Amino acid sequence: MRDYFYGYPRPDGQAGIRNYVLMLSGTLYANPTCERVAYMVQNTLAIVHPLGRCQIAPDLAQTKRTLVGHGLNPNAGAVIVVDHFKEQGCTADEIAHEIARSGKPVEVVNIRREGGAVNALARALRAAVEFQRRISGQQRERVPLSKLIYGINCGTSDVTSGLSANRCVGWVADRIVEAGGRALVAETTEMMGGEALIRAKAKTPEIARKILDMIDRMEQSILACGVDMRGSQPTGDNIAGGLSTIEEKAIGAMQKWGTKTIVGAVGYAEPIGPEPGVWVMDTPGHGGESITGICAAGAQVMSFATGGGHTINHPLMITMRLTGNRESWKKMGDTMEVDVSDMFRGTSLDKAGERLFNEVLDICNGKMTKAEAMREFNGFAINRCGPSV
Amino acid sequence: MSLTALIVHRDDNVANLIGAGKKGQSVVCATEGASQQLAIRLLEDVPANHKFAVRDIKAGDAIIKYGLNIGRASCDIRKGQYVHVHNIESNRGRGDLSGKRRAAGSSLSRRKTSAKSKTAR
Repeated sequence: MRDYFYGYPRPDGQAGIRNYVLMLSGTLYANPTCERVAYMVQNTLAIVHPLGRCQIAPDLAQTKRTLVGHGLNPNAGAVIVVDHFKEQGCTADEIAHEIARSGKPVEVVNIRREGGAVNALARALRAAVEFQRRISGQQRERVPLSKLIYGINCGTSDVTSGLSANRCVGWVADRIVEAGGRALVAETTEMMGGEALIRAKAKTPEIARKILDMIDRMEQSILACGVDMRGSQPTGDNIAGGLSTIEEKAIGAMQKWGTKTIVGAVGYAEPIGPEPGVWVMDTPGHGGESITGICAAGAQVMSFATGGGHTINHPLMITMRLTGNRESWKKMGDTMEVDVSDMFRGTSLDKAGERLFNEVLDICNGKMTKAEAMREFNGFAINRCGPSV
Repeated sequence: MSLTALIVHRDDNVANLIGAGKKGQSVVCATEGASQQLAIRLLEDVPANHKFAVRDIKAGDAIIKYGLNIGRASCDIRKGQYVHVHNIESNRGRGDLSGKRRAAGSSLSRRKTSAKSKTAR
């Protein structure tokens, strides 16, 4: 079993598996500048969103934390933050200041300061070209697997998920944790019913309590809506796939967590600690918001297990998708990288898990996912915790 | 040819069919980590990979899968019957139920103290 990958070491000790120039939009109105530069300059990614303005303080802080986390993610070799005037509490200057502490090159482009959209575009384009000249010569180096944060998520789950694909992800998580790495799981809604597993696996009662409180807050917010959440959780496609209740979905989903100790829990898009093991993040079940929180914590690669098939992937955190449903593989094969449906025809978990492990490491070493090859990016979505005002 | 199904845990009262099943077909159920097999005749059609009962289940009884409680029966279910949203329901996230019934659910009773809190975060 390989215990290393070839990555891009960063000044702060992390290691990227890609070496992007990141065009990070601070606000809705800076999105076109970021998108145009990413279109024009090779190996350059735009992170764009509708937020960054008229949000109440805790919600704006969450947006900023998510954006800073993306700038700090080691898959970004250099970052250009763009905003249009002054987003109090979430300015490009503030975002860039926090990213610059990592030691990676960071630039700010303010549309008003530059004298309008045309000048801002020229400045951002020039900066992106210069950054490419600075970082594109960096060679991959052999780094230990302990540098990996393995993001874990699932969506459009069906009854095959908990019996096959999710178990394979758990198997890979076990191997990465054994090598000193960290596995990062999320989706608080999909822990409702799995409390016994959390109590059994948390390193301390305090960690278990923190996660159970997260689940309780999520459930109370659902109860306050006064409806049966069935149809939303489990979703319509979950139900079509044979999952009857949120508990069944949750316990199946938690097969992805593997068998190792839960060593900590964090809030949405917060950084995780250095301790090897399984980390839990408080996110909704919403796929895009959940994987975006995980990327902000520094995960370089993600396994996304699906039953019915799923197009989801995150532009910056390289997302490989797998299914244990043979029909889905046939129908949606161009949105997934690994088929483990042979587990229902006698293939052992060890064999299927090793196949997934090898694909994850190959992707860390530079092998493209199908979404990367197609530039089919869709999974960036920042979770809200307040209204627009 | 007979069908096969998977019982994840020996305490489970439901199994997942591998493939799709027709009423009257016989299913060989294997339990993970156990050598003995159980033969069950389907009383109804079961869509691919969905669940069916491996024991008679009374209305209100817990549905057990993975050895854990995944909901409760909303009516009596006979061994071999298809099990899904038409005959089982969740104990969790049920904002549609009255406060009294919610508090009575075993998994929710410990939450009574915080039940007044509004939206999270």
